[in-house]
Amino acid sequence: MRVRVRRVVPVTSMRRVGLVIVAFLSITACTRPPRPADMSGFLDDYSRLRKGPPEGATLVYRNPGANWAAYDQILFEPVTIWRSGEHSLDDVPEDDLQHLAAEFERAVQSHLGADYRLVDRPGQGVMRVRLGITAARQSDHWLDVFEYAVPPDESVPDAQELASTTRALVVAAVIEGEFTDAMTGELLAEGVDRRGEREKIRTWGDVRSGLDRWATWLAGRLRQSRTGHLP
Amino acid sequence: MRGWIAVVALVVSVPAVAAQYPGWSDTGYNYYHKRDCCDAAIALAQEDSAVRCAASGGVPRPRAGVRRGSCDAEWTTAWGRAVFRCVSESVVWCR
Repeated sequence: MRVRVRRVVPVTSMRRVGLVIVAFLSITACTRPPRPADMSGFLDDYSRLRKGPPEGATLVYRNPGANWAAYDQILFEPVTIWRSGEHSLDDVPEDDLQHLAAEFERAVQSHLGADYRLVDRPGQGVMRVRLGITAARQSDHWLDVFEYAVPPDESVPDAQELASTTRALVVAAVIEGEFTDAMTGELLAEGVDRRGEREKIRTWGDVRSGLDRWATWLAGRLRQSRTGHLP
Repeated sequence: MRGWIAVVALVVSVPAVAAQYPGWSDTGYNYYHKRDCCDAAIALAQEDSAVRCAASGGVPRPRAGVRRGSCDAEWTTAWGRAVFRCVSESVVWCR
């Protein structure tokens, strides 16, 4: 009768192997661009994106040659909402889509407006900013798009709870942004960001404060870029 | 009898009030950016929807500032870069 001898791997060795795997995955995550099929297609080129620093965007590209100090005006494109699937936004009330886009625009404009003059046409020293709220993958054929250029007349009270379909969109979405020279089209920076604990969002007040925090962070990063103090 | 005619007229006229006329568009391979391609396709589909609404005797009432629709983008490579073609469906309000 043969006795099966099972080799027992010491726990410490297993831990070491685990650490090596985690370290390898972390390194490759930092250096590898995201799979374009997993991204929405809102940005033109995802191959340049890399994992951002802890205080930065989730995925980011910054043009090393960009002269941030040359820009003192911003041209905002209307905020766009993208979701995978034909008619996939139909279950979200249109008023909610308007409020979501408008709240985002308000937050970003009010925080960036302190440092930049907001303009409505390209010119010297003008940076074009395109922002999107996306929950989409390029591998999905159809895409539902909502764009709203006129702010709604009334805002939603902070305490009002989000409709479940609106909340599902907010929780699943990421913010994508592109900054270009408005005259030449040169890309200055682009990024995909998904931070904060979205699952905790319940009310319009939560949405508002989340967007305000994001806009405050963006304004700070742009300020650091202008003064050359971005780490 | 007149009452019946009024009821029939009301029933017949209700679908016309609530009718929606989906519009379609196809941009062809004309855009370097998916965003611009979908924007253009949806704008064209909204126009098509408005034309269909008017052709059926309605009055198109697009919501000011709203661009909304579905978009299917495909791309090919030309001169070393991606060129997009978008097909879109969109509906504008029709009364």
